[in-house]
Amino acid sequence: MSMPEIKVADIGLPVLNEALMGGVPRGYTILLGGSPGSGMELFAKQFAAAGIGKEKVVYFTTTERDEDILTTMREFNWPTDMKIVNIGQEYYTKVLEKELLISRYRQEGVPLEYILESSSRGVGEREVNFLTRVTYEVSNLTPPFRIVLDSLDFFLEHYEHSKVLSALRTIKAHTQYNESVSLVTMLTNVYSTATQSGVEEIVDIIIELEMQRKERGFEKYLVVKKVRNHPEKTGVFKYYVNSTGIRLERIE
Amino acid sequence: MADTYSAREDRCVTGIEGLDNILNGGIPRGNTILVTGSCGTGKTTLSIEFLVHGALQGERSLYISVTEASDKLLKNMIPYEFFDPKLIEERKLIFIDLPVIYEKLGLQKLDFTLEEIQILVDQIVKVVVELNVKRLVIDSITSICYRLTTEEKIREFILRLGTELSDAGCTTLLVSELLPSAKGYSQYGVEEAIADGIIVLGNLERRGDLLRTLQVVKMRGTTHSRAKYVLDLTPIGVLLVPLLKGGSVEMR
Repeated sequence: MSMPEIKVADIGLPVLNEALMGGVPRGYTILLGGSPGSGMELFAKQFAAAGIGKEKVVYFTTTERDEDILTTMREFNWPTDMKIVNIGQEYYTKVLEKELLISRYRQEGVPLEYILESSSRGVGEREVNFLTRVTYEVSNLTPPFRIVLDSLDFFLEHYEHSKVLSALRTIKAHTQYNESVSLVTMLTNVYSTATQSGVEEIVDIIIELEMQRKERGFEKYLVVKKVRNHPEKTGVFKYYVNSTGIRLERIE
Repeated sequence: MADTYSAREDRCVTGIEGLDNILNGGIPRGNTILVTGSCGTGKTTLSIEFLVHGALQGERSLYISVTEASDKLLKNMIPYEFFDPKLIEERKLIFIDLPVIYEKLGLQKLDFTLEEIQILVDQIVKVVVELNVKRLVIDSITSICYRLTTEEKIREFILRLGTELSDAGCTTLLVSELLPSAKGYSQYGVEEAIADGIIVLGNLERRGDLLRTLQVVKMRGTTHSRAKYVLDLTPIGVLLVPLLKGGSVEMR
């Protein structure tokens, strides 16, 4: 009797594909954790690139500019044919830029022409909910797709955690139903246990990037902390970065 | 006729039939007057007429609307014979909406801090000075005070505003909405103590008719009649006639 074949997607790292089920099972959502500087953003791009040409890839970013993402991907000779939704940029134009103007006006006063030429009918522009923005964008995707959300931290900083968890659940459900794959990044050791375990409970796979200070620099480890229904697949790898991207080494 | 008093530099001639007589020549320049009364007593109409007469005499007049969109108010002014749309075109008479300023200054919380009160006062004074406004109406001060949650803040706001507007040579009417249940002449009780003058508008029932009344309760810098007058809103503007007292029942 042969095993029923699991449909998988390429995670972008051959060693990791092998260690899992030959890839990420379709329908799975991955949480990528780590501390700042551990290479989460690079992993996210490598993961995105692995889907290009086979899946519709959508990359949500909250911190980088579009050109920075594309330049980095080109440096590693990865394809870049994906959609970038720049939440960070939108946040800047819709919220931060306004706040900057407000502080300027509070200092200098509002220029007369702005006061004389506008009516109160235009006031009260609806606030953009970036969480809804993401789930809406995700809900419009047709399979097979691949979502990268870098990072969840932006949303945890701006919205109630229960709402972020609920949005994550929506993304996961949509990914699962459409036999696609999603990856979300989040800093470790920042949030309350309730939030941390809430996120960990929703996702199917948890990968963490760890750095340890050694005399001559850092030793970097990739830890597979959770694989749904397959506790035997968890494990620790060493990783390094070369001209092709992140590479893993098994620890004997 | 109002023109009799136009020679007096120290007086701001209201141009309202009867009122300048009551005030012995007009409102002393630079005064901040509370125009108070319950709804429908003619506060807004009286105030706008005060501005229109100013504009007709070449004094730049400014109306700051707090709750109503000013373009709607303007439409209501068209039937009045004293109103000339040219005044708007030539910017002799200017309407602005305070919510526009609130938005630009990020004053959207329901409770202003002392710092924000200062910012708001500075902004209003800046507009008055830059446009060389000689007559100002704020309709209504009650709606602003609603966001100044303590008596100290209301006192601070009206006192600062009154002083700086007076320094700018601007005569100001603060429209104050009075609930029938309110004691005294203003909703919060503080406004009346700080204002230089109080004009009370009210309702009076006489033999089945509801009359509008006007009474100048206080006016610094001039002698004035304290008698109650009947106020008639006619297509040619406000008319004041002495009240014949027989059979009257006062109402708020």
